[in-house]
Amino acid sequence: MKRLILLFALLLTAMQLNAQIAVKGTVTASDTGEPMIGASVMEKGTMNGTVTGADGSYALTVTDGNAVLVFTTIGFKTVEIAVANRALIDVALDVDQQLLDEIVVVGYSSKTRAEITSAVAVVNADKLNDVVTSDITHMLQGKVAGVSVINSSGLPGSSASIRIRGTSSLNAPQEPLYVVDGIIGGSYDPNDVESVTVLKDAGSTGMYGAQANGGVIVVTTKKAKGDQLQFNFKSTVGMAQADFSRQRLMNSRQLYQYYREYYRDPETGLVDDVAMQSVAPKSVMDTDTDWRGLVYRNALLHSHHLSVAGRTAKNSFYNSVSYYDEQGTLRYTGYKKINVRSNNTMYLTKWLTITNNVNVWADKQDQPDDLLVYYVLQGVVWDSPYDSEGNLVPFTGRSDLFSRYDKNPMIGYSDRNKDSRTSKSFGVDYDFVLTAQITPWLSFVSQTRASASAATFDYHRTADVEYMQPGDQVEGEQSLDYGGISTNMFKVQKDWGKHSFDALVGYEAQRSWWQNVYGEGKGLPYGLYVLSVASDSKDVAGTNSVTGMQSFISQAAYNYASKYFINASFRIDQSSTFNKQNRTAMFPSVSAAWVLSNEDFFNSSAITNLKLKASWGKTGMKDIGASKYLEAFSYSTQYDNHSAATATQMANANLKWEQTTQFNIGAEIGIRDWLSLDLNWYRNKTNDLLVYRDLPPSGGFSQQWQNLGSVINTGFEAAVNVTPVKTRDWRWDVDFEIAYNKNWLTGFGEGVTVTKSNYSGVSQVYHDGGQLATWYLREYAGVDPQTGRNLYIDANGNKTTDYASARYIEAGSPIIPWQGGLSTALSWKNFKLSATSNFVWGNQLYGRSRASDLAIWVSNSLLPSNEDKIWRRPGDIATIGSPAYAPATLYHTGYLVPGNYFKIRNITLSYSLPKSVMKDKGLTFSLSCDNAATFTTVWGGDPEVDMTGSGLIGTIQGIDDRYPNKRQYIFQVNFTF
Amino acid sequence: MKKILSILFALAVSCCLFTACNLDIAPADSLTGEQMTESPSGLEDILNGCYATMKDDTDESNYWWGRQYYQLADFASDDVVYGHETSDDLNMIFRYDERSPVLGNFRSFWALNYKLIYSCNVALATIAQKEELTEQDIYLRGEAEFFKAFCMHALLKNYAKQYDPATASSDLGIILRENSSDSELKDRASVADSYNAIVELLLQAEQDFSAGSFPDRESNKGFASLGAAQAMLSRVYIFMQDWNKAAEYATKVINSGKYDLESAQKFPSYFTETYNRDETIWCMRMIPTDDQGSAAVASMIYNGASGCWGEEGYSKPLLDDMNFEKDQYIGVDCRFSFVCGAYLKNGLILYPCSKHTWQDGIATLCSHPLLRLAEVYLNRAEAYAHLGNDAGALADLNEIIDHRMDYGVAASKGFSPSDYHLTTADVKTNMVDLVLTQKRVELAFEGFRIYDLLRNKKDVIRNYWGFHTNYVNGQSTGLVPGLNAPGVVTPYNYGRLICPIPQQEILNNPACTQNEAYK
Repeated sequence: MKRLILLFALLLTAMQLNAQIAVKGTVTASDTGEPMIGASVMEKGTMNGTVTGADGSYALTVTDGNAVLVFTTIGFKTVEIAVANRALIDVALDVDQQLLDEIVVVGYSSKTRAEITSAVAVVNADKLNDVVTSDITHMLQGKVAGVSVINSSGLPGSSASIRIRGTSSLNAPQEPLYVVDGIIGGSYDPNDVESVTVLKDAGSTGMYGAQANGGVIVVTTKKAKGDQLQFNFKSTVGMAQADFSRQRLMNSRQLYQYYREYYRDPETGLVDDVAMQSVAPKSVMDTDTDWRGLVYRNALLHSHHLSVAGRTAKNSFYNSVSYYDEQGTLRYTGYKKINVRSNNTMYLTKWLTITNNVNVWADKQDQPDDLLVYYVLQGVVWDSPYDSEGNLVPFTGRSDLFSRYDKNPMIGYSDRNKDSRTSKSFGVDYDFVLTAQITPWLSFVSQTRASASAATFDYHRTADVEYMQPGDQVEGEQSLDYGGISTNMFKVQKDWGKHSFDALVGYEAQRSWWQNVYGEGKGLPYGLYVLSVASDSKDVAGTNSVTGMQSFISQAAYNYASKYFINASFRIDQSSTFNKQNRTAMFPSVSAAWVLSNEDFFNSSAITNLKLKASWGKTGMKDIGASKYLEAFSYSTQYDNHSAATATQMANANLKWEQTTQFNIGAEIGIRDWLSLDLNWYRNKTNDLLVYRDLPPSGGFSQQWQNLGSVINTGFEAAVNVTPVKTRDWRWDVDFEIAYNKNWLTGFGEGVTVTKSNYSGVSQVYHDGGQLATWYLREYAGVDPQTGRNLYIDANGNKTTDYASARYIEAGSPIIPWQGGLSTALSWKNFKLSATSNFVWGNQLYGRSRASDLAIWVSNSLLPSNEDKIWRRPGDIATIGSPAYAPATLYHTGYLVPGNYFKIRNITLSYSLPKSVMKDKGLTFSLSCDNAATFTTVWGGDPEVDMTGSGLIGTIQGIDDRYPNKRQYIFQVNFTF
Repeated sequence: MKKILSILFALAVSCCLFTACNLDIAPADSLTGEQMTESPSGLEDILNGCYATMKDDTDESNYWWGRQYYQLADFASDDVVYGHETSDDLNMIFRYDERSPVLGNFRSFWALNYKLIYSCNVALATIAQKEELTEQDIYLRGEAEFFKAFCMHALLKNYAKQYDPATASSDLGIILRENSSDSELKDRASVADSYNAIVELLLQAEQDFSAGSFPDRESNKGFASLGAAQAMLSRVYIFMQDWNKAAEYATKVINSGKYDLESAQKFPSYFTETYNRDETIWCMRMIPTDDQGSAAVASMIYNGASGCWGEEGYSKPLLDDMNFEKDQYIGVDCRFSFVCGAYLKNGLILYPCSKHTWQDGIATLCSHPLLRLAEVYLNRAEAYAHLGNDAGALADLNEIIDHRMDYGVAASKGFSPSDYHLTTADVKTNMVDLVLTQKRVELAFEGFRIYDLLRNKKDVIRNYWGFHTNYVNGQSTGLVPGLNAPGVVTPYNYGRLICPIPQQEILNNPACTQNEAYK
């Protein structure tokens, strides 16, 4: 090998000795004939190049008469012309109708749009950056067909969860794999992102093998675009409000009215107002505390981003710094982040390129104390946290309150230091990429990333904060994460005649280490909040873990005359997650495409692109945490300060990868420059599902990790981009995505049902023929109009009032079948109005949010929906029964609601100063509103609910256990110079 | 050339850096069963882990073992007022009709006990593998046998019908797990067989504790001991109605000289340091970091301190049996000190209970006494009463009374000890009832009452207001609820007084039979 490199290196050096020649010419646009300013002219395979001047002219000295010139500029087709010893070369560039030559980064390699043979979607920076957020996941909402983005928390700094092509697992995580600048993992600031590529089928994700069951999201950061030094400054200021969707709380008067129902005799229909007023005299209505209003606020958001990029013959760089500062809509919460990136590429010699990218970030998140928030939101409107002078008063020991809890949680909000929960982290990613062009057709690429991050978490609560935790408390945790990944590959690229071939083969290894220490204590002196000062109940913990993986990767692609494309990949992974005999798995894939529009027989002036594609391949999922196959006696506790080991995990030596076999067929259709359509149909079968399966507890263990059964996901996706109007002053674009997904389970075995329940016995079941996460609940049959009692269906199919004898039935699933997005942009001269929205349709959510909670209603003052009616007297057709009969805890099908919604994610109006004023500079102002409106069938909660986690999914959180989403109003200035 | 060399070097480095990937990575905080056997302290650690499991959080913190141990016994009984309707599963301990197999508290207590039984079986298997046993090994075997028996009994008294000599061999008891590899799908053994297995284990434990020795553990009341095995035998024989054996084993404990009843002066502070007191035979040792806070045993029944809900309290019939309002006893009976000041909750007058509180200055912390000498006396008294030995029964009851009445205060009120002593004149119905009344007074909120009622075939009569009835906040509480009101009278043989076998067991072990009332 060494000799080979030497040989080629010498050959390359020798080539430099050939005679150089000078070339000049003019570049024009073929449609208008006007000169092209700023077009790039490069000598192919080198960094030798220039740009055209104001008259479209250029001059360049090339290595020899055999050189090839590459002419590129944005919006036009790239042209390559052999110099062939000429001194004058004039070129007319054609407008690029379909941007077919757009480079799509698909991970280990890049391809042009035309070369893509699998289901891949690209979202560029201009489409990403409409929503203002610190996390890119939020930006993908409604923009890629078949990708569902669930934003279940409005906590600043939180991520949305992403599911690509449905749900395919019971217990293994399914977040997609992130690949930043070609290397797995990594960090980045949304402002530095050039494009995001979503790899949806095995034709492209197969290359990522055991990490790719959730799909792959490839993030590419910015690089210098032209030779000119370019600065960009972007500044954003905004205001955010909590968005509670259709969740309304009762005011004092409404609560009084509902309270009276408790005193209604269901037989006579009369209310015992004497009893009622002995508990709640009418004077209670004098107090009307909006507890929620006390802790939510209009929050400020601002962020700033400065970048500078440029390029010289030997060097290309992009440097940026971003600052992001968002207050939470909940008091005392917020998020701050600073990010610095430096991307540098050095063209050391004609055949050797080295890239050094560094990303450094630090952030701070002030989190809510969920328990404290719970107590605030459990407050009753008739109670006031203040005395008549407006001072906070302790509730402890008072009997004149209506709240279940004799606690005044607002004391925790009287001072920033009463109850504080903060996490901070700091991280560095360093990428080193070396590309050696050994021969014109063979190159060696070595890419390595070293990552380290440290995080701290601090919590304290002072003794006078009132809630159901004894006394004061301080907690601190520090953790350190570090590791690396290195990929070393040989790449081959060879064209001959109409044949084009490229391939790669390589080895990848990754390893990561994690360790933490944790301490807690009580007994804080006044005004001090660190671990050292705690005088009581000090406790410590700390552990570490290591994970590792090594892989063989390979890929080959061939195409003939840009008509027939075939692509194959093969990967072998070995992971420390599994036992020796199950450690290795193989992931093949193959995909092909046929571009009909390039065939000679295809002759249509309307259809400019027609491509059929198909792919098949395998991916896997290993990420269930280390050592799940081992028997474990865990040393995480003590008894009277003696060491103690508890049996925490049952061995399963046979535990292995969850593997998905994917099949995709698709078509791309382009009609001139006004419509493009991408259609895909897929069928994915995930085998050996990793299930944390229930066992009979009498055997000593309640659960065990097992491989059990399969799930089949099938569906189709359609993405349409239309530009119905395109004139000199007007342009209107519409992007529409829609996806349908359906799943069913198989291979569990006859009579085998996996059940997941929450603490209250609400269950979801998994069995052959059923859908994932099918609700399994007692069957509800409405309110008996005669008695006001809830009715259920018993085992014999008869109506009964006995909740305990109600039968269980299967009743739909929260998994989303239909979803999509609609974006549109209308521009007139320098004004642009755009909007993004997304929708979900056809799933079933569970939420005890219909105010049927009258039995424990005092602490749950959700206003019933407009459609709800409370039973008052015999004959009433009602949705809410008489509370006189309601047990405290009811869980039944009556609480299921369709989870349909349509959300307008963003509306933006922007104005760019005209070119005549700005010359080569750019200045844009924009006004926008994020999360502008929600239309939904769900009452009493946000329909965008958590679909992750290994427990139940799809339950609508109540008023107290979720951080609400936010609506924000933003003003932005973007200045380029 | 230099350049090329440096490049080659860079290539070599990046290749080698990760090439030798060792993928055998052991967890940093746990050992496998095999490693436990090799570890010199493995056996002890597994046993300590059993004790720890009783006091530790589970994934669902409200469902830890100790909370269920007490709530299942006391909240189901006629000792406790249910003062605030809650969505916590404890609601269904009070409201029998709403019990169902899917409830978390029933599932969790079942699963935790079987986890403990499994761990004991692992410990026993580890000992069985040893070629030569030391005195320590034999002692530890005693602990494992005792612990397993204790957990089996915790299951048996909750999930099966109480022992009835007439039907015990056909009534369903619990699933027996012989050893650590016994996880087959099988049905419950009969109540008789279940009890026999428990007795067999306890008798072996008694032998092993006598034959073995482990001074460090013998001196710590947080660990099981010979006394614990014998006291447990007296308890189990009471359940089995083997009165002679019950009395025999109670006598062994009482005569061992290792334990003493606390005096009336010291008893009020007993629960703050059970582990140091002579009366304790075995306690669940908790240290400040083990504090369960608002999930503690005390939290629901004690109020006025942080972490305490104080939603339950002493029932009127219990207070009546304590002579709570009689001047003769006020200030004299030291057990009144556990009855906290009355307060109004949802229109109900609640008397919270301060047992299980204030160890190490923490309201919700206590090293709960799982076996203490007073129970052993009461076991013997009940056995004597059944055997017709009224004098013996009264002597034992009076022994307790002598240690609970502050005769100094009594004297100042003009009463003498004999005014407090029980005699045959105090027998209203029969001697057994008198013993049960005294047991109720002495061991209130300590996990006994519902079993004492059911195994003696006594109906549960809760004729006081609370959310176990159809009580509504604001309703008059002047009169007691009528006996035919919902939730007031429950016949002892009502099926839902027995806990349901958890759904998780039924679904995953088709051989297991559900209790009749939940089919």
